[in-house]
Amino acid sequence: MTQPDTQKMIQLVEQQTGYRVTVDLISGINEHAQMISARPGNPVHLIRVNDTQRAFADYIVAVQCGMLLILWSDPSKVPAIVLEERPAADQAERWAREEPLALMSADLSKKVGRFYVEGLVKQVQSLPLEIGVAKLVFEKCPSLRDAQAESFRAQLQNLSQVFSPRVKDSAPAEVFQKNVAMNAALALGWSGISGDRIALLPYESTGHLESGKKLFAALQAASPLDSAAYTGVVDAWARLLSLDALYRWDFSSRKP
Amino acid sequence: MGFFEPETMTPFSFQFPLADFDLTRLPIDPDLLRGDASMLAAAVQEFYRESFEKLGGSATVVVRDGVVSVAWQPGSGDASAQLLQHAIGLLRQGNASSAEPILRALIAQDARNADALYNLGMMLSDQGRLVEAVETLQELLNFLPEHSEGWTALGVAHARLNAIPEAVKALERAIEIDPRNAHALRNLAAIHGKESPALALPLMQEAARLLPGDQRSQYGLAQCLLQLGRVEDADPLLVKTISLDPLSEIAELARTERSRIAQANLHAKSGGGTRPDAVFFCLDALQKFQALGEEQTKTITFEIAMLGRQGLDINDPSKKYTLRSLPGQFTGLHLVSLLYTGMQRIAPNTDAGIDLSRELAEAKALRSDQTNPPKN
Repeated sequence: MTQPDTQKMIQLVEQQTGYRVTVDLISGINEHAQMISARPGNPVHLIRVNDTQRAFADYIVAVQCGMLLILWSDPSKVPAIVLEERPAADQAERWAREEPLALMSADLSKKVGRFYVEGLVKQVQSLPLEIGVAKLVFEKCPSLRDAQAESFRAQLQNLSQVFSPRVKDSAPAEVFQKNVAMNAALALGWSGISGDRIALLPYESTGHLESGKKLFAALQAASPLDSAAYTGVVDAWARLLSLDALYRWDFSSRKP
Repeated sequence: MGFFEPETMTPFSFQFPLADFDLTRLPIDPDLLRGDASMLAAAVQEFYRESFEKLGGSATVVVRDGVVSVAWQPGSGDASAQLLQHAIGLLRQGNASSAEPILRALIAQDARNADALYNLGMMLSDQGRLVEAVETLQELLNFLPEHSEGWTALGVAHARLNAIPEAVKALERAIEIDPRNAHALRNLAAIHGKESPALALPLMQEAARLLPGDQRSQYGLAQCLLQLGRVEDADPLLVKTISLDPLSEIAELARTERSRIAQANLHAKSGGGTRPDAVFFCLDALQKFQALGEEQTKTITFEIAMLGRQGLDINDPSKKYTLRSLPGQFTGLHLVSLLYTGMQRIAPNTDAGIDLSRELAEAKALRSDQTNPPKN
């Protein structure tokens, strides 16, 4: 890593968790990075940066370190989300019976319904953490602010594709509403950190900003964001979005 | 004592077609913006309002009839200098489309704004608009012929156009004006290096000396030395190249080069035969991994692989390495032997970066002898 701010984040993780951080490149993945967090039998946090993103490696590593700092604030109780199989299957079936999924073959509609359930649970799990980490990285890594702005610009641009009729009409209305509410909360989070208001325009003009504000308020109420506060925020978001029956928390001790 | 009047700040304005605005620079889907004219106008207005807010003063942005008009009244100071810095900041962020109208507006206001011409020329060259780049940089050099960096940028643009004699001439002129112009030295060396590494070497040595933190210069010098057969001088530079930015493409090239050198050295030192010390280390690895089991083998192998990305010195006999997953102190060759043996157990088709197949085969034969001693 070339940026002292990234080195600082790595050192913070190593001090807080007691495990070394190792950074590597990986090819053939869709995400910007993969992280294999340490456990007693595997004594390193491995951050694998997608080799297509190597120009942004410093920022990506800082973000992954930020996630570790929040999730591992208590190494004896590191949270992970687990899908509740029965309620998830029931919800997938309900959405499979709604338009536009009901117009598909039974098999395909169930698969797509399941895809939406898993996608929304992943989103409710990841976005509060992402906003919390963005705030942390913005404060601790001023040298990475350009890369951070670039990363959020690309992500928010991508998320706003949901308003195109092609994407919007491909999901049940309820799925669309929940997804857009969380996207709006992310745009509000970034706007609050950076002062950039442009990303809010699609949500304002379509009347979805209010639902995002409710989620964002729940996150703002939990500051600073440690692992306990983080699980609390996810639960609050899930309740507001009626997703709380679809998962449970699994806590593990990762003490060296 | 007289009165003094506050300095009058001249508003700075520029216009450009809305169609020229690069919508990909906004955090909103470009197709969504194209389908919603009012959102598009609001987004572009907000973009410039935010940009100029950071500079202080007040900005008026109007989007009308397909044209964006920006007028900025600076709060204090030199408006041109502030705008130039703003444009350079945009270029650093990769936002050339927003920087270009500002640079052109600065040049329209003052055709001899050297910094604006230089940055516009560099931007055009980086965008591959090479003919425009050459014209812009020549404009600069017509009235400022001692601008060493301008000659460097012109040389690079010529080189990108494959106009090599012109490139060499421009870069030599840059160095003539400023013998410490490291970028000119490095670029001239890169051109000569293809044909004559001996000619390139002193230029690259000087560039690497002037830019000790520049990965390209360090790697360029290492390459020159390798081409001249000076492997021992090149290796520390390859190590430095990796340490400067371990995840970069140049670091990857340096790693590959080091693996090739290590491979050549390893067997050259044993006259092309097997290395007895590596055989011993492979034997040690076989015994250790047998005792520790698959999970621990993976952990150790993985840790060495990660450590190895910084480069393991296999020619140094000192035990200078430690692992978290295995107690003791190790030489570079010992770790490479552990790595190779571990990889053969857990992922035999993966390239370990070095070939110890003969050493491992001998170690396996020895181990077989140990576990099944010959009967008398």
